[in-house]
Amino acid sequence: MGMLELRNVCYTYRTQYQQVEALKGISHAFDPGLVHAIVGKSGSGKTTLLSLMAGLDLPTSGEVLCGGVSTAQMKLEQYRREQVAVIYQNFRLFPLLTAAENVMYPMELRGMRPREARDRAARLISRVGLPDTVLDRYPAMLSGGEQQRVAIARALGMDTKILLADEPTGNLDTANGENIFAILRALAHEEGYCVVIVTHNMELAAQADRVLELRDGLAAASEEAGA
Amino acid sequence: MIVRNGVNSALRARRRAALFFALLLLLTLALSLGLGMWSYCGRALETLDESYASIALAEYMGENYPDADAADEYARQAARALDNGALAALDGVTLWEPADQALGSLAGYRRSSGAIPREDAAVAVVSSLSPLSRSGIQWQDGDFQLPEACVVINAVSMDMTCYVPGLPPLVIPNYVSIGGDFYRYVERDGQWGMEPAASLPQGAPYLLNGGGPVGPIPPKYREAQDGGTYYYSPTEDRYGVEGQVVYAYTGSITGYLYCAQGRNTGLAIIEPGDTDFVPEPGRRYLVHGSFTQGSSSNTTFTVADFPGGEDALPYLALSGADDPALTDSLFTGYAAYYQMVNNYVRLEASDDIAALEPFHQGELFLEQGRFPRAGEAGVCVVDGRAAMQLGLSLGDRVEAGVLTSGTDDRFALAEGRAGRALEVVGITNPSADYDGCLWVSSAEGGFGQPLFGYQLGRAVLDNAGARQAADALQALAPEGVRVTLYDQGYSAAAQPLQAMRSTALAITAACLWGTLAVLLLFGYLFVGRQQDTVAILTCLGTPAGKVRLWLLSGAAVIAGAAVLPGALAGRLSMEAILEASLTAARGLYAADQRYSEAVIGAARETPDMGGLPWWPAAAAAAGIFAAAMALCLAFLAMARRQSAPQRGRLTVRVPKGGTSTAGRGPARFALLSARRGGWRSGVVPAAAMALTLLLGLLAAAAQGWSGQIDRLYDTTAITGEVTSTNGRQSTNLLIPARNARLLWDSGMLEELSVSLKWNYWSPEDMPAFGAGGFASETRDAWIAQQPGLVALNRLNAAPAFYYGAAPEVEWLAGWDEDFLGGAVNYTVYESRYYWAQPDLYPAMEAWQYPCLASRGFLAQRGLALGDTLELFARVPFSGETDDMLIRFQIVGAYSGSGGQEEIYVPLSFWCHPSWLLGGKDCLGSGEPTGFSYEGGAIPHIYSITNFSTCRFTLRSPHDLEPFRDYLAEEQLSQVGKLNMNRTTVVLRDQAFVETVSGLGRYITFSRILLPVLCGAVGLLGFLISWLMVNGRRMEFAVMRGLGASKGRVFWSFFLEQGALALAGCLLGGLALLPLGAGRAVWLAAAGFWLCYLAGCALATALTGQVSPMALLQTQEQH
Repeated sequence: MGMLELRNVCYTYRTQYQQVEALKGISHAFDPGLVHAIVGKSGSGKTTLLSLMAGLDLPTSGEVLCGGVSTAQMKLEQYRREQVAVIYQNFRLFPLLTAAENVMYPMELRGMRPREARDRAARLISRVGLPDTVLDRYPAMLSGGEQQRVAIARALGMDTKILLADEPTGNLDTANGENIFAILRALAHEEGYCVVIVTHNMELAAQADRVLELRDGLAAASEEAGA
Repeated sequence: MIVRNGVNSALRARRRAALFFALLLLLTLALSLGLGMWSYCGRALETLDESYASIALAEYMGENYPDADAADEYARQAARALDNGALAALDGVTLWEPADQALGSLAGYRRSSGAIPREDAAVAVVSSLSPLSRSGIQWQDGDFQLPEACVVINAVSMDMTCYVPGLPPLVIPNYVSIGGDFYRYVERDGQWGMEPAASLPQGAPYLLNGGGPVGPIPPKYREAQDGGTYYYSPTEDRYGVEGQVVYAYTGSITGYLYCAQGRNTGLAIIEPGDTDFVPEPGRRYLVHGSFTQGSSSNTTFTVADFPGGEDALPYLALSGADDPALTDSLFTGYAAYYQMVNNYVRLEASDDIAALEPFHQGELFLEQGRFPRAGEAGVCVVDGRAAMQLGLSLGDRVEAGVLTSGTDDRFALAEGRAGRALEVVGITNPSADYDGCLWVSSAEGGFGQPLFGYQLGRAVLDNAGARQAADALQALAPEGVRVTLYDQGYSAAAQPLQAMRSTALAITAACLWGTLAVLLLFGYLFVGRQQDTVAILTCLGTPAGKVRLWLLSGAAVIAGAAVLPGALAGRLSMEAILEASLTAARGLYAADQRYSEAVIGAARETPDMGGLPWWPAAAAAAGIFAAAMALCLAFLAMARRQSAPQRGRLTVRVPKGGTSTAGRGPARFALLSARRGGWRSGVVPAAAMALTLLLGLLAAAAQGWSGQIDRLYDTTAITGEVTSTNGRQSTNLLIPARNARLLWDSGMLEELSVSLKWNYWSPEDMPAFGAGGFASETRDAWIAQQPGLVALNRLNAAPAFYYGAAPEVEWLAGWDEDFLGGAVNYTVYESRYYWAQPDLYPAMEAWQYPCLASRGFLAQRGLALGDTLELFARVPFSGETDDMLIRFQIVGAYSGSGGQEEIYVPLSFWCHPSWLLGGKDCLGSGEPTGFSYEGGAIPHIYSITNFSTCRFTLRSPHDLEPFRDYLAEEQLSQVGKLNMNRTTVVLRDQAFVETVSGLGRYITFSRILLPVLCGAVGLLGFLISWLMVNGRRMEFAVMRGLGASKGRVFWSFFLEQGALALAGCLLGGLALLPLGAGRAVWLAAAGFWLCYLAGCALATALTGQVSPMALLQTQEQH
């Protein structure tokens, strides 16, 4: 049993015009200390799967288990707050909060005092390789790589062991992308995080410890990277 | 293709398209109705303004008001005191004209109705005269010898004197019984008067009522009667005996040099009158005199001296048919004079004849032609009767001259300005009241005649500000002048329309706000948010024009499809809605005009307001459509900017103070966002401030209006009075005491003052009236012309001070106005008893009635405060009148114009105020036991007393409506609705009611508008919040994605919006503080804030309902 496990997860979008079966029964386990990559073509269900793993919704059928407990059994807000951290493709930083305040936000959600949170945010930002000068800047004043590092720092600040990243390098140049991946890999390998990366970048996926390939909502293959 | 795709794109968002279609349709409908109603009311008010005319008459309320021919010097003084320039310059006065009237002549016109001053006068040729005899006194001329034993009756005093040889003459006095008491005529200082008899002489002979000797007469004196009865005229010093006397002649009137129309007759009785006319048998005479009895069977013509005092005899024996006296003599001169005087016409000059009272009040109207234009010379309007008599038609010319009136007698006429030829340009309806009238413009006026009657001038007023203008005129008018407003019912007709126009304006304003908000949202959603489409189209190389066409075509189709049926529905439903609104407005705003001065004067029928216009619906549709397109264009520019790649240097901003650690929870996020929101954080406070100012101003105004109403109720004294049936005359009335008491019994009066008047004269002022048959009537007529002795309980009831300021009074020490209505009884009955039986009332020998006289009166008689004087007054008692000598003490001297000769005495002179205002209710059941003092034996006649003035003040304006109800319950008459009373009660409430109802209308308006505005503000709050929150969906999503609870997310945004709105409200409230509006502003600010919060909560909650996954994926699609 992995840290995060999918059991026959199905998900159907129902819109006014159509009903789309995005996931058609995926089962998979994500273990800690590894970098997992979910790959697939556009529309294969990668982001939907990540959203379900992030607790943004419940599967139409099947289960997402975290530590053996189904997310359906949990309060999703609490699950999102305490069990998983998500790094979004477009960074998703609050534009009117400084880099430090963005990192502080999830800590404050968990009840940490702002001063304490600020100190920790500074450490986290430093840890992801950003200088102190970044702390008081708005996201708009940062480069894409810097914003993504801030997003990683915010995820780290959530104190979860599951780190979900949706195309974490998608908006970055190669060098920045490699740097970000290096950070994620380090988190998995050195600190035991269960890092799940959704990407369509096969080169990046190749660097992951495990790869889950989706095709039309189904798990096409699951293999050890480099296997 | 571009248009098709654009339209399809817009329509395929079905819900959105349907929502905005419905919203725009409803807004177009509402705006059409609002604009249509506003336009209709505006036009209707213009029509009313054109159809109605408001005038104000300035009249002096003199003693003989409303006699149009009275010569009143006080009225003339008031006319001279008018500042015509200032009156004409008043706001709202479009024309001020002092009265310009005269009597004139009109060639060929014969007057048949109206006042004909010498109606009975005639110059006639009489013949075939035969004497007529009857019993009478044959007065003897020359030395007349009385027989030794005879009875001589004094023809004046009617005392009888018996002469018997050897005995002294025995005078037998003649007594008159009046009301059970006895009086006799006595001569004092050459004046005759009535003297009460202490008691009839015991054992002495006397006559009673001239009915013959009564009482013991010594036998010797009885012989005198056998010697014959003779009459003695002390004034002429001659004797007469009873016998047949020729008193008149029957004869034929064979011709007239002049007699009034309809008076010519054939046979008549010709009386010599006071002349010595004794015709010789068979001769024809030219006689001057008047018809004194008009029945056809015995038409009597009395020969009379020429009124000019000429020495010539008023009769002349004619030598033949060609006697020169028939063509050129004093007789022909008088015939011509009577012809002129009796056939006068009334001339009136005005530059707005249509606004003259008879035309304005609908008594006269033009049947043909037009009115002369202002300043147009050589033309006139003729009354219908004169035109008919003269066979006049439009375009004919008449010869009209001006006659000069005597100063004291309007009809003492003389030739004045020579006749002028005037073209008839208008002919009125025939009216007996306006027979023989000509109206000309001011170019033909300037008659320069002394003022007769009481109308001093007339103002033509702007309808809308008529009341204020009339009040301003009244303020400038001299004392004793009343300004009466006649608006033909304009105020009543315009009030509902004004109310509706205000409501329509509010609806239109609210609609405009709503439209703006909806259109902003419309533009944003249909165009502003389509930056992706813009980007794609641009990427595909679509020209800018086609991009515009793509986006605007869809919006145009939806907007166009919505506004057209909206406008159509608005136009079609307009009539029904207008009718319903008018009915409601009339019900809501029609002021209660029962017993109000507002109903004085005729009211016009409401004119036809015409059809409903199309333009408001068209304008609403076009306006909304154009605004929609304009906003879409603006949002298109925004969308293009957003979709375009960012160029240039990025502006780097570092928050002040760096990373914040202030606050906790959602408030922290809210405050940080609010502080750092830039323009976004400025929009909400700015909008909140603007709307708070709007609401605050409205609320402050409403509070101010409420305060004004409260102050009005606290400070206004509503007065009222009893008037003539037309509501114009308030003095010289016959007001039953019962009515006065009824008014007081309402319990709603603070003050009630009344007056009643008799005539007084000084003994030395009365002339000798002789002993002729008309002496008594002449004496009565003289007394009736004497100044007034007025009993009243307050000075403001005095006719002389009725229409002016209170007079300045100098009081004798220890006296003030309270004595007039005080409890001390000054009944005139005491005096009556004293003069009848002085011996029985010795204490009254020094009795004096306190009185108030004018300084002029005192100066004229050499009197001072505290002096006493004796005056005769004619006082009615039990249906008869007594001429009583009354002793007065002057306790006050007043000054002021008008009524300088009137003397004021306490009301208790006639009736004690307690009967009117106290516990002694003359209307109560049970037999009245006394008149004015306890235990008196005099029959109670209070209830048949008539007051000549009666005015009152309401205790509080709050009592106005209950008082109207009370008056109606008691069936007291009002102007235009007469019950049993021939006097009406008029409340001087118009200014108060108009002000209060005007303020009330504003308050009602604000009460309607405030909730509407609050609702609109709530909607606006929702829209602004929705726009603000919707633009920050990503933040929503991230917060939820990071595990923030719905509540936390909600509060994060809600608090931010609330804080921003609160800042705006506070700023708005503070900005209004200098107005001193206080609580209302803060209430309005709070109201706005709450409405905004409600809208904001709804918008935030709605966004918060969307699942974070959907939010994030929506964002991803961007």
